[in-house]
Amino acid sequence: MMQEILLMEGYGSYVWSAFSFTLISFVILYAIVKFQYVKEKKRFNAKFQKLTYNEKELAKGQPTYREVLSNIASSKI
Amino acid sequence: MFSFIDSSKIFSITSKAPKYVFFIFIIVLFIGLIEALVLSPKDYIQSHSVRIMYVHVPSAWISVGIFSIIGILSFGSIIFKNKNFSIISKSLAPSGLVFNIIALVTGSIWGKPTWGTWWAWDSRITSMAILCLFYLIYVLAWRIIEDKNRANQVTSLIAILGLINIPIIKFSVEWWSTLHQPSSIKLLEDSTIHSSMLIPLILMTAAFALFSLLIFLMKYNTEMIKIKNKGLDRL
Amino acid sequence: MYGKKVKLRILFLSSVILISVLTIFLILKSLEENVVYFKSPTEIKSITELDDKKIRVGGVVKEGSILTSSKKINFIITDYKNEINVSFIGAVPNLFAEGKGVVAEGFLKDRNFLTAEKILAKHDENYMPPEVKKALEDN
Repeated sequence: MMQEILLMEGYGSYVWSAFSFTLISFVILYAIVKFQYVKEKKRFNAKFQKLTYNEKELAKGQPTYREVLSNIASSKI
Repeated sequence: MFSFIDSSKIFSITSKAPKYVFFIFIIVLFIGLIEALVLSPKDYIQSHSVRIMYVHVPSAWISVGIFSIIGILSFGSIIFKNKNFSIISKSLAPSGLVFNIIALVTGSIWGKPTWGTWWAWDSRITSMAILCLFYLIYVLAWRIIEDKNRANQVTSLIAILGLINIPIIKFSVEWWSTLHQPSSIKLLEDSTIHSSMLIPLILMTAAFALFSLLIFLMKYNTEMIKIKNKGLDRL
Repeated sequence: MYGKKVKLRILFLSSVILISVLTIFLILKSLEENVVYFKSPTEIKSITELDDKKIRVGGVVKEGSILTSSKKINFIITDYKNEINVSFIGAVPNLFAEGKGVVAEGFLKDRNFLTAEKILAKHDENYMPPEVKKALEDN
């Protein structure tokens, strides 16, 4: 059974390489996009910490900033 | 136009969505892979090599679909100067490009045992390779051009010009003699794929669509935070 | 309804598209010879001048026409109107079979004979399990 799935009557190497290429591409793309996402969140957080108290309150008052901030807080970085 | 869409409301959805999409994607992909590699039958003439179809065809569909969306959004982006359209287009491009590359590579792997060649310059394959070039130029233009408005205009024009290639890809197998076989699934006719092979094809298409949605959401959130990041300077 | 600027942009975009579509159409039309991947035996018959350029002929392998001798393989490509003889030395793809699609690349000796350097199998858009195919044939 296992051997049958691996060999696929001689087409195994083609089928498995096509599926592996697809899945490896997925992992690479996901890793790159995730890395950029986390980096951008960190940069936002670092900048936000440097703001004065008044500026922080001003930013928190705007809905979009509230969403960004809660998103960063929820992903714990 | 479209100003009624509150960007903070959109972001509150898109920032929470990725983890759910990821979860559903993994489940659908798992079932799809089992169906595609184990449960589905072999073909009467292509034997097990037909299984490559389950990664090749969904990738090709999705890369063509994503480019069509980018092209149409680019119209809106240029005509109505809608910023959200250009951010959505920009965020859609990476998964479209990757699916295009997957379609070309898996097609090549499929071609060797069935046609007897890795590559043929027939009109379907060539037009898909041209789409890949459009994707590359599109993504590079966003990276290279510093001025935001300029980048938006240039990329939109690239996408709109690339849109002309889409019907050529679709109908290439009907207009000219090609090595590539015609479409098996048509809008108005019965599909020429047996139902036992249609199941993994649909499951894999759903999984791939979920994956591009996931990548899109993460990319879109990155872009939104980038914009807000710049906004912090102006407080 | 929309401003003048919006209308101008629509006009600009539509003219860009119109011009590009027209250009691409004309390019493809003039390159038709190269856009088609292969010619049918009927088209080969109507060639007025034979040159020694490489050519691809496509069609169906005629039933009962495959002759194999030591390394050489001979067969007939048909489009059910005209036929062309092909000879080839080498390995053929797995899907190469009588009654199935084929593309032969090589040089024309005359309008009836092609010396192939490469044989490609062309399959159709029908996919089904072997049992279903057998059931269809039995009916």
